[in-house]
Amino acid sequence: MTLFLGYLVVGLVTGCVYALIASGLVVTYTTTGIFNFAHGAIAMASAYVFWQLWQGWHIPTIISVLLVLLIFAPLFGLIVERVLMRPLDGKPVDVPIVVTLGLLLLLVGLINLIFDQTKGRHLPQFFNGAGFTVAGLLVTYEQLIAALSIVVVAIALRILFRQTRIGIALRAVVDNSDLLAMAGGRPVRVKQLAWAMSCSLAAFAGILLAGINALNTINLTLLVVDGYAAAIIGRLRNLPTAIGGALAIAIGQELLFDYLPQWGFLTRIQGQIPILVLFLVLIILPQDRLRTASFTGAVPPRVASLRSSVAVGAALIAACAIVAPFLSDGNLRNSSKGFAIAIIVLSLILLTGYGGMASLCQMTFAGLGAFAMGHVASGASWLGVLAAIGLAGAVGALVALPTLRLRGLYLALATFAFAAFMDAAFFGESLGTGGSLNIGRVKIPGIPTTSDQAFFIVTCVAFVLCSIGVLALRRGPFGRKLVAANDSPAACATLGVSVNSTKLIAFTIAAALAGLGGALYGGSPGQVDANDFPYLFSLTILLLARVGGVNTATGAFLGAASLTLFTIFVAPHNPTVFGHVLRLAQLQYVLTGLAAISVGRDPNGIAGRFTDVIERVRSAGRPQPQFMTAAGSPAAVFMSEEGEGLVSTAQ
Amino acid sequence: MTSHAIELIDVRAGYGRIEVLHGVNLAVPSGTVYALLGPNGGGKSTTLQVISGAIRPTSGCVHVAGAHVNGASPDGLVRAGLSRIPEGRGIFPNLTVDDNLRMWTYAAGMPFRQVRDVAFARFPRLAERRNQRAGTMSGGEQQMLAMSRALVAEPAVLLLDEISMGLAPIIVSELYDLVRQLAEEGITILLVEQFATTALRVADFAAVMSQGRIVAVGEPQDIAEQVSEAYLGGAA
Amino acid sequence: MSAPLSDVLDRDATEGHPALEIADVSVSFGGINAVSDVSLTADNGMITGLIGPNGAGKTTTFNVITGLQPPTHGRVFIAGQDVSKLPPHKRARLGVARTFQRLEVFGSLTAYENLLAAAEFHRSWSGDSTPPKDVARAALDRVGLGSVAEARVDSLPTGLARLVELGRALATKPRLLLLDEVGSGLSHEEVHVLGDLMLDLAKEGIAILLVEHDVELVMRVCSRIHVLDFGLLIASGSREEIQQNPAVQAAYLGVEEG
Repeated sequence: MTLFLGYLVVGLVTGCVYALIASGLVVTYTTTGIFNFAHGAIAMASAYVFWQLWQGWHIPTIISVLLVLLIFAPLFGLIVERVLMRPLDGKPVDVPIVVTLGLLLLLVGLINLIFDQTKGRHLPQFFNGAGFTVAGLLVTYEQLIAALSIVVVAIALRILFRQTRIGIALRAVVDNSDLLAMAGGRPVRVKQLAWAMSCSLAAFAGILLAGINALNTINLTLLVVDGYAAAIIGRLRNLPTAIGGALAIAIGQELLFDYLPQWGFLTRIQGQIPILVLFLVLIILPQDRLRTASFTGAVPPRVASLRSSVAVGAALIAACAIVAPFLSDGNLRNSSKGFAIAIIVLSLILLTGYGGMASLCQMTFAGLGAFAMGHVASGASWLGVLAAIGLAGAVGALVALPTLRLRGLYLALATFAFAAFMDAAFFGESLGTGGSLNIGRVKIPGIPTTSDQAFFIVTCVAFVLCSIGVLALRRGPFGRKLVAANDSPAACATLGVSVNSTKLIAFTIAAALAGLGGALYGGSPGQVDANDFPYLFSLTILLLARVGGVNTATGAFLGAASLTLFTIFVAPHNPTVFGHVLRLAQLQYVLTGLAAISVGRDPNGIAGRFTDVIERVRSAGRPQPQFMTAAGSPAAVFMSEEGEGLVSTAQ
Repeated sequence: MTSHAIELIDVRAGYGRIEVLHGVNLAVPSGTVYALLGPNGGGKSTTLQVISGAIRPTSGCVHVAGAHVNGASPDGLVRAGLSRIPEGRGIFPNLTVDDNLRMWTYAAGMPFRQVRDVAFARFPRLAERRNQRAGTMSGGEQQMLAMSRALVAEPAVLLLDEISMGLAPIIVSELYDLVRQLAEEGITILLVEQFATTALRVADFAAVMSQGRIVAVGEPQDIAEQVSEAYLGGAA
Repeated sequence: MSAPLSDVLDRDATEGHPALEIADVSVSFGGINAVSDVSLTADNGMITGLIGPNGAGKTTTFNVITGLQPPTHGRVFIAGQDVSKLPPHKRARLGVARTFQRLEVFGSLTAYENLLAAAEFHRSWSGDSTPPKDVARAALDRVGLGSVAEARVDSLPTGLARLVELGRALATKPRLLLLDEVGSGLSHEEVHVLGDLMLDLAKEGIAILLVEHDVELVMRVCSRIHVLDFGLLIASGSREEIQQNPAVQAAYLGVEEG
């Protein structure tokens, strides 16, 4: 009995933390309509700041806590609102997702840069682990405070939202932000308050989580994701339901852990229960009709013709063949890895750029590809390549089936959950089996792929062929249907087609493509381990695609090329600044994050500017479409000289 | 100061490349009820949006209370005494009636209790619904709640956009009685309306818009024929 | 005060069934009736108007016919077949096409690609052997969009985008065409030409149900008109009957105070 109570207390405490997280998410979502993917990263960063104050600078506990909760976090929230969120008003709906994911990466990168992750950091228990005994069970004061805190927070939020004018305005701004302005309220003030509060709640959760677990950027950020499930149960709106959901998930998780038989697989997924719940809830809950985002990104340029894509591809292969002899083996390996990544990004061009479906788990599919390549037929045969494509494609189809009806944020969250789950349940264990997995390079008769030069050219050719294939797909009926399905599912239905199979096929092809990329990705260095396919890398891939131009194969190349150049020229350096060793490899996350955040200012991003210029140069020589020049009347295009409109061109 | 509360001189405006208003001239005398009539797509709502600052005219002048306000910000105009009840209910549907009223206190400059007293005195029916979510009330009650905002803010100029939309005729009639009353209290009211007859009953002046132009202006009895023509193609 | 419900069902039984018949359709959103017990028909080779003030339930009726909005009760027949249980794409395969008041174009495709996609969709379920390119090209010419064929549709003004929707609908070779405010955003002259096109289509035997606020256009092309107000069908008849109908006048102009 005491044992059971003990489990219950542990579950309850974890549940309270999840509830804090969920409350923070709900506060910003209800007031601004923005789901903050970076919520976990903010919690994590706050925990590090707290550690620095308390353990680093030996500031008294209570003062450190107050500094973080009442100064640092709210201030950070205000900055986030002012700098990142305010420009998002009226931007396409996918932009907030990109920006908050960018913030997530930025924070992880920055904290990694500042705090050397090879050093372990722990927060001592508050009150030195002291507590009191109830029915023979020791309850620490820390646990008590965690449990009480959510009660206090829940009551305070209720009073705020029900009784105070600003609190009611917090709800009013969701209902009708324009009307609030018309009535003389200041929607901006209200949103500032929301972000400040939300960040404080995140910080609180972060400190409590860091007390239970060790300080670690990746884990802490992921732990917070566990709270997302509760927020989704509350449909991102309903606080009491979200809090109830949080408690239920945490207690259920704890009891399952303690009473289920300790089989290998079950043990491994125990920590993943909240993530599984998140995935299931997303699939089961009826969808919000509003706020669906399609993820098309920048205004796409013209689709390249077969001839020009072949020409550009041939030029790229030729260029690679010319530079190859001048590259060191290490750089060749990095570059072929770059082409493998380009293929993975390319899978998103198809899925996200054309189909509007965001996937935050492409590296997971790549990892499955590498896994298959390494395990089939001694790891270096065409069979392995086929297995890589097949396994990734099959799992892609399995993931796609239940998630087909999800769009925008919900699809992003579901794929995010899948990636996080696979991180822990699959890659952590099976892939590495305690270390790394050897992956060979496919044997091609007549080509010595074991040489780094030859393999570099092979990956380049593979990328070019995949690009030509994806572009051809886009120009054909399948591509048109995919784009149409994204632009208007309703119109597709009234034109007699169901779009589910199209979306399923697109998801499967994209996963298979990522699997192929994964097989090549592993073949380049010859081995991979669990750290090669983390969910953070999937985020990076999506953001790179979005920033580089999610609608063009060129965008895939540019995104991957910049990453490769970074890997070659920046990442290996670890300069010492003010006695700190800066691991520049972390700049990968910082820079990707910053680039993604810039999308909030200019949705078309860098790539949009680029294509703008190209389009302008192209159209400079051509006559403008008539309706642009026909002064004042857009419709003048129909009025031919005889004064016959519409049907004048018909026979 | 002119005697016109609102004056539009040769205003052209539109959305993107499409021009919707092709040179609109309109003068609304202070303290009157002025009805802007015409079929859908005639440009009535666009005209209101231009006046309230939501759309910037491409050319021409907009004067409100004698001041040139082309492109002034909507909230600036609100502070200058212009209040607009937007098309579709100007309420917060997920808040209770009480909570809606509490939001009116921002502009009213009076405490919540007083706001509530003013609103309930004018619309006793709202008092019965105090704790009900506004979105679950009947259309007429929602419109009353929306109009209560204008009442407590005591604007000089009130713009009403299709307040009768989707309401039963008897409710519409009740709302227009209130409009008449407000005008007698000195508020200038410009209203956009599809139901011409109802609006003409309370209006001092009316203008008929069609295809982005004012096609007739006058006192209600003078323009009845043009109204019918504009709506039903004249044969009536 | 309430308008008299006129007798609406005109089963003048030309041979077989009307192209469209909806019977006692009601839709309510959260307790509010958007459409109440509406029954109406549209016949082959004829343009039938569906008019009424804003919020009268016209677009909702279209959504019920095409299956995008399940009705609270009531049934929909297309060429005599009860389609009430069919999903939208199955109804489209019976030869129903529509345009949308709130645009549903394929914005990131060109005008031509919009029509081509529709023609390809049509071929995929109809087995029609005409090359989709020819179908799309012909439909494009028919709606007069030849000169903007290569422009992305999201860069087109609304009026032209509506014509893209019309062209897209034509590319599926429909027998019943539902047009929702297809003329708005076009100039006076263009609306006239659009009217000519509708009359031609009707002459070819297509049944057209037209929602339109341009009264002039409605009065010119429609042989029969149904009038909706507050979700109720308040009148059906010829254009003269509609213009003289006091209930219609009240719906449009408001009720004369006694």
